[in-house]
Parts: sequence; structure tokens; C-alpha cells
Amino acid sequence: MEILIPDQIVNVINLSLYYGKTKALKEITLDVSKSKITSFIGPSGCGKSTLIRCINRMNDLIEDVKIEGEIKIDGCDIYAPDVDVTELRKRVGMVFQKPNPFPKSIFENVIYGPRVLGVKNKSVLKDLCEKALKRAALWDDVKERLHVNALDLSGGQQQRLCIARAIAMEPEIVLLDEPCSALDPIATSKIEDMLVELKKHYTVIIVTHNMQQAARISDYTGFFMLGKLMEFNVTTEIFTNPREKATEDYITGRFG
Amino acid sequence: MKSIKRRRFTDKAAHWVIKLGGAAVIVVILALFIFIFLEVYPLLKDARVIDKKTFLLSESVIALKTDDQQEIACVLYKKGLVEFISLTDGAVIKKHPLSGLGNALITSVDMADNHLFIGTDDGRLLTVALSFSESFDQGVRIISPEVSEEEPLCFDDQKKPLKSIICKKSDSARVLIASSEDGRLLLRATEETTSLFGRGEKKEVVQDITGLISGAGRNDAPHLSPPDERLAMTPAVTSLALDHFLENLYVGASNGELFHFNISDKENPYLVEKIKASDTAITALGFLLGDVSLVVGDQRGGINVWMRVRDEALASGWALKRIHTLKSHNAAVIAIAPSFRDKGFLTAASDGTINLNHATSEQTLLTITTTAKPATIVFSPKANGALAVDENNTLYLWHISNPHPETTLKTLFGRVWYEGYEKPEFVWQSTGGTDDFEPKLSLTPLIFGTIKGTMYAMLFAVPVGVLAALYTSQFLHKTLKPIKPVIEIMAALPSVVLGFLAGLWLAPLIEKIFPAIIIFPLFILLFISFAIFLWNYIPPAFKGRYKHGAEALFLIPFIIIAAYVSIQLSGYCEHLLFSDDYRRWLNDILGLRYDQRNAVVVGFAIGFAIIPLIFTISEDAMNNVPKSLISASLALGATPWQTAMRVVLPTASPGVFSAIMIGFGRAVGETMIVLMATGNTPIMDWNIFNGFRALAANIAVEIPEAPMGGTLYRTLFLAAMLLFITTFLVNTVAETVRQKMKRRYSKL
Repeated sequence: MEILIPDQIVNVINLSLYYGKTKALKEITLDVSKSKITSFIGPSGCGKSTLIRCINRMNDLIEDVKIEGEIKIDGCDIYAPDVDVTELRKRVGMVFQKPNPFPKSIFENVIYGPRVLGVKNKSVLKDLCEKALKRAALWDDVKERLHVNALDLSGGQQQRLCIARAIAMEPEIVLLDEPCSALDPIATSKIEDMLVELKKHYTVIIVTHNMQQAARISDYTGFFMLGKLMEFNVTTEIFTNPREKATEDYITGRFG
Repeated sequence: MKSIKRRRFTDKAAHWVIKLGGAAVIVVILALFIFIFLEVYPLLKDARVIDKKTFLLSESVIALKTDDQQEIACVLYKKGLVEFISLTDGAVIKKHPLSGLGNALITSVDMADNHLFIGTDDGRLLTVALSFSESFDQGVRIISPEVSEEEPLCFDDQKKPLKSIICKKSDSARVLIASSEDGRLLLRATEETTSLFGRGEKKEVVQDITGLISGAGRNDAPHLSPPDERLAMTPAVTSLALDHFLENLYVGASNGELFHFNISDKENPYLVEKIKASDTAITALGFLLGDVSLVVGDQRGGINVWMRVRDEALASGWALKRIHTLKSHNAAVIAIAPSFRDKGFLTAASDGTINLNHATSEQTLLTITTTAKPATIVFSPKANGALAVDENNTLYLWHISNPHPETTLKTLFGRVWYEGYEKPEFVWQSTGGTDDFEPKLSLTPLIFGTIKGTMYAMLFAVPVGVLAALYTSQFLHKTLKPIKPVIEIMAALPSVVLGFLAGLWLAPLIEKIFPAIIIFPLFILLFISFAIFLWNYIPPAFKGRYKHGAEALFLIPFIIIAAYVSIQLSGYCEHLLFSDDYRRWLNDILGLRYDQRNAVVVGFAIGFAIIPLIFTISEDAMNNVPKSLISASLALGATPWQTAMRVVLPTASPGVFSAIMIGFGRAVGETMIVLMATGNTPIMDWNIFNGFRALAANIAVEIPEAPMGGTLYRTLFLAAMLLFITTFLVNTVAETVRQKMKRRYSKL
């Protein structure tokens, strides 16, 4: 089942993860291609979110997590002791399941990352903000009201704002953990269009419950079940010609 | 069906019980406020006449007096008859014709204690003693007045009518001053020096001191011009006032000048000061209770209060200054009658208006009128009534209710020029040693004290409380979280215990190791830096014993060592920094006086009391910041510290704000700690090493001194009302802001 992935940027090598004594990820190995969209699908609790959170070490926040194996970004193990976590997170941006803008203005939200890095120049920040909002396809909606509280935006706009916030950092990789699960279909389609645009600049890894979404936007798809990577392939292959029985059952809706 | 009915009933019943409970709370608070307000309200009410009586007398009267109960009036008719009149029915109780008067007429009278000093038109002086003896007959009090005359004294050799007369007595001396109709001023002083063996010598000085007015100062100075000419230049004496020290004589003149003589040496009286007190003639003079402040009434009706105030510019060191101005009459002031209770006085004008004034509060509390020009007025001994006789021979009696003449908003909150002070000041001094002491009830020093104490407490408690909450909620390892209930228990500590500890243990301790307190923060920083430096070099195996978030435990020994070192270095540091004596150094270099019980101690103690409050509420608020926001911030590459400062603190700000406000409310109302840990001195000084007196502590201190219904009692209620309003406002503002902010963050 090994496939050749061109232009690899992330390598997950034999990764296992334990929550206490529970083994949540079981010996996962996969590669992510640069400037492509890679999607992880699978039933609830299959470990796809856990895996994506490993890529920027968000699992560090949880007590009793133990990790075996390696994740390499550009060939460097991100779990090596000398890795600066905050530095890693600057390179690997993340968007969460529920929109979580800060209770600040739209402008302040977008430039939060650069601010934290110590950028103080107002015009630089303004440019960064505009660029990020344009890439997140939100600029036209909010350019007149950058100083309005972000919580006043609609759910879909908030999620795009969170994406803008993540890409304002100029990361190499953007992780999206079910970004559309809390949104209506129109907002979802807007975000999908945007993601397709985004892959020109960034490597996108997306976790989704929605198989059509994976089929529509992603270049590579991994199917997870019970903490195991069942199948990883080019998206069209997965959806048209799955090799595993479980994959076929899942994508045809027999379970999940 | 039955169950539905029952549910509905229960629902309704619960609805009403809850509603009733809520309404009851509001009603109780409102009732409390109204009760306090009703106690305070009379403070600002004017005086009023309860009852007025008039009696028609047969002849013109020159002097008037009443007893304590205002039951009997004693009137002196011009033709020389003393009559006692019942003030209940107007019946004449006793008549006593003055035998010593002969055919002369009475021209002037001075009343002192129970004596009448009567000046006649042939220059003689009569002294009449009056007394009221009380006896009880079958439970009924009978007052029987007595009159006794002394031998008349020839006062003026030239036998001219005595226009005005004044007499004061002390144990061994008596001074009489009179002005004659032809403008001379006469002094007669008798002094008895008693030795251990019975009667001593009697010394008498009789002098014409007119020269003091006309001349430049010394009585005997201008002998150049003949006496008659001198007399012509002399302004006419209109009124006299002599204090009971037999020392200061004030003379009012027809040209508006006020003369102040020192007559302590009766043989050599001299002019101390001469000032122009009025544009028109001075028509009446009178001392207020205590014989220090002088009321000056003039021809135009102006009433001013003058007092000797310390003035370094003058040779004598004192200068007469006008300290209060009262509402003017529309006509000449003809009489001034002081109260025997407070700094109040009555003034009568020739148009028949009589004003009841209070000097210190500068208010005219009451105006009453007589139909004709008043001949004489008198304030009843208990200051609850006024008597007057007008030229139509009508005797008026007013029963007056005047419970709080000394309070106005200005005396309560503004600067007031009290007797004996160099300038108007904020003073709180409710009780004094003497009968003529005037309570000084300015709430400003107390409000200042409250603010000072609260401010220093907040300065200490807010950073500690909020940062501790931030640390506990964001960084502390979860196995150490039980520290929160422990801190909450601190809040349950009775404040009297804290006050006791602060006053009796902490205050002396701080005083002892003061230099150590100053250097302690420095050493803490130094040792913490050292600890962090060390942390980088200790083996990971040892580090692992301190879980993530438990590193604070590693710091504890360093902080203890820092405290120990700074205490050990205390003496050395005092030698080095404060040239061996920090108290003197503070005093000499910074001009700060160091009290043992000072604002630092109070700040610590109140801070200790409110830290648990601020900590608990802030910690809850910070804990409730959605984890998703923290994740978002961390995922954006922020460090945990940046996340805490930029996301957690702002998002939790409504809670932190209300925590601070609740802490503030508690600090403002804190009583026992302030009471025990400061000296309770009502001074207004921001010096952190001084004590202060706060509103709440003041109430506790003064309660035993405040008779019910008195001015102090009501002022204390006013202080309570201020505290109530402050707490109410602070809480309302806190809650409004919190709700507003909450609405802003409700979409999270």
C-alpha cells in the first residue's frame, strides 16, 4: 500500500500516542506533500484529530500524553528535546473545529501572531492584516469595519477570520481540525473555495467528517479507523478505487 | 389532572415566595437607608420657634434675665425696680425697688452671672445680686428669687451719667470699665491679695483711660494739648467688651474703630491694636462663649466675628482678624446676646428684627421680630429660648428648638475657621476638656483617611491578588490546586484578629526591621534570578521531581533565604543607607514622620483581608476563560506568559474588575483593622508612615462619646450614610460594568 508522495514536507514515521494507558494512535506512517491539500477522514474517535494536533505539538498541553515514533518537518524531528515549541507553532498554524476568535477587534485578531512575535510597526501590521484577510477571502466583508469586535461576525466569517489569523503568521503548514463542522453549507463552500486558493502558498492538512469535502478539495486522503491509518492515497484513488474493504464501507456510507 | 393542578400551584407558590423574598431584600435596604437618612436629616434643619408668648409690662425696661427653665423672668425697669415675672402666666412674683438708687436714673446695665451692675446718671455704680433658690413642696418645685444690693459706689468723680458699663470678676479681682456721657473711659480695678494667714491687702486702681483712645497708645503720652481738646479729638465710645481673664478690653467707637487694650497691669493699661472694623459706627460688642471671639455689630446692621490670630509679622505676634461674617440686619445692631452653650448668639437690630446666629457655621438660623425697637434681649441659659423687651414695653418669650446650630454642609465638608486656629482648616475633634470647647466635626479628614487606607491596601492587594490568581489558574500544576480553598479560608479570618496581629505584632516588627523591609524586594529579585540561573544547570532527573507548574516550590527556599538575609543585613543597611537611624533620616531628608502604627501596616493588614476576595473571584474568572482561546493563542506561537497577559487577563477582565471592586468595597468599610492598626489620628497627610482615621473606625471610636440625638450622634450617622452610599455606588458601578463587559464576551 506504499505510495510515492512527491515533494514531501511532513513525515510521520511509526507514530504511536498514548493517553495514559490507552493507545490512541497506532504506528502511523504517512508523508505530506508540499503545497497540496491532505485530508484525514474516518469515524469519530479514530485518532485523526489527535494526529493533526501532534504535528504542532498541541497535545503537549494534555497531561499524561506519551508519544513514540517521529514526526519530521523538513527533515527535522519536532519532538527532539532542543525544539522550541513556540517556534514550531509559528511554522505550523492551526485552525480549530469551533471558531475561536479572541474577544478583540478583527484587526487585533489577525495581527495577534505578529504582535506576539514583537512586530510593532503599524503599517507592517496593517499590510499583514490586509494580506491575510484577502487570502482568507474575508477582506471584502470586513475592510470597512476592521475595528469591530470579532465576535460580532457570523460563524462562517469568524472561521475565515481564524484562518486569516493563522496565515498572518506566514506558516509553512496550516492544520485545520474539522473547520466546517460548525458551519452551514454556504459558509462551508466559501471556506472550501478559499482552501483551494490557499494551497498555492501553504501546505494544508485538514481533518474532516465530510467525505464529499475531502473528495472535493483534497489531493491526498488518509482514512483512519480505531487509531490506525487504514489507507493513504491520492484522493481520487481512495474514492474511486479503495484498496481496503473498510474504506469502501466507510465511503459508501455503510458505517460511520 | 390532579397532578397538573398541583404542579401549577407549586409553581405559583414558588413564584410568589421568590418574588416576596426579592422585594423584602429591597425593602430592607431601602428602610435602612431611610432610617439612616432620618437620623441625619435634622443636622441641616434650621432652628424654629416652638412657642411664642408676649406679656405687657407697665414701664420701660433696661435689663432682662431668665432662669434655666425659662419659668421666671427678672426685669429691671429704668426707674429702678427689679421685678420677677412668671413666664407661664405673667404674674408678678416679687418686686424689689432698688433703695440705693435714690433719685437717680439707670443709664446702663451689665449682667454677669448673677449680678447686675447698674450705672446711673449721676456717675454711681450699683451692684445687685440675684439668686433663684429652689425648694420642693410636696413634689412641686418652687423657685423663690432673692435680691440683695451692695453699697453704691461713686464711679465718676464728675458725676456724669455712665453711658455704658462693663464688669468682670475673678476669684480675687474685679474690674469695672465705664464710659461716661462726655466721652471719658473710666477704669476701676480692685484686687485682693490673700496671704496664708487670713485676709491680705486690698488694692484699688482708679484711672481715667480716655487717653488710650485719643492718644497714640500710652495713657500718659500726649500731655501737650489740654484735656478738653484731647477729648474733642477722641471718637465717642459706643460699646465695651471685657473678657473674663480681666486682660483684654475691647472698645468700639463711633467712627468704626475697634480698640484692643491690654489691662492685665491695671496701673499701666496699653493699646495693643487699633483697627478699622467697620465703615460706620460700631454699635454693639459681645464675646462669644469662651471670651475669645468678639462679635462686632455696626450702624448699618453688619455683624462680624473677630478674633486674635497668630501673625508673625506683628511685634505682638497676634493680629485681630475678621474670621466670620454673618447675615446683616437692615438697621443698626443694638444688642448682642451670646449663648451659654455654644458659639451661637442673638443679635437685635433697631428695626425689631432679632437674628439667631451661629458664628462658626456662619449661618443665621432664625429671624424673629418684635413690633417696636428692642430695648434688651437675652439668650436663655440653655440656649433653647430667647427673651426680649421692646420699647412698647412688651416682653417676648420664644421657645426655640435649635439642636444643631453648628452644622452646615460647609462645616461638615469644608474648611472652617475655628477659634484658636490660624486659618480655616479641616478638623475633626469631637470632644475636649473644657465646658466652652467647641466640637469640630469635619468629615473631610475621615474621608481622606478612608481613601488613604483603602488606597494603600489596594496598592498591596490588587497586584498580589490578581497575579496570584493568574498564576494559579494558568501555570500552577493541578496537584497544587488545593491551595485555592486554603487561601479562601483566609477570608474567613475575623478582621479583629488581623487588626490585633497588625497592631500588636506587625507594627512593632516593621518598626524594628524597617530597613530590612526596604531591601527585601531587592533581595527577593536577586535570589529569584539566582534560582532561575540555577534551574538551567540542575540535572533533568532532579527537575523531573518538580512537575510542570510546580517549579514555584523550588523558589520557596530562595525566598525564605532572601527574607533571612535582608533581616540579618537590616542593621548594616540602616547604617549604610539611613546613617544609623532611619527615623531621623526619614524626618531630616524626606521630611516624613514615622509612626509605629502607620499606613504601611494598615495596607498590609487590610490587603491581607481582601487578597482572598480578589484572588478567589479573579481566579474563577480566569479559569472560565474558554480553553479554545488559550489553545488558539498557543497555536499562534504565543508563549504561556503572552497567552496569560494578552488573552486570559483581558478576557477575564470583567471578573477581575468586579473582584477589585468588591475588594475596594470591603477595604472602604473595614473597621477593626484600621481601628487597631493605626493611631486613629484624623490628620490629612499622604505620608505612608503616618496613621490616619477612617470613617468606619471613627464611628466605632466615637460611639461612647455620642449622646443620642446629639450633633455628634447624627454626624456619625452621616458618616455611616457616606459609607453606605459609597458601598452602594461602588457595587452598582462594578455590577453595571461587569454586566456590560459580560454582554460583550457572552458570544464566546
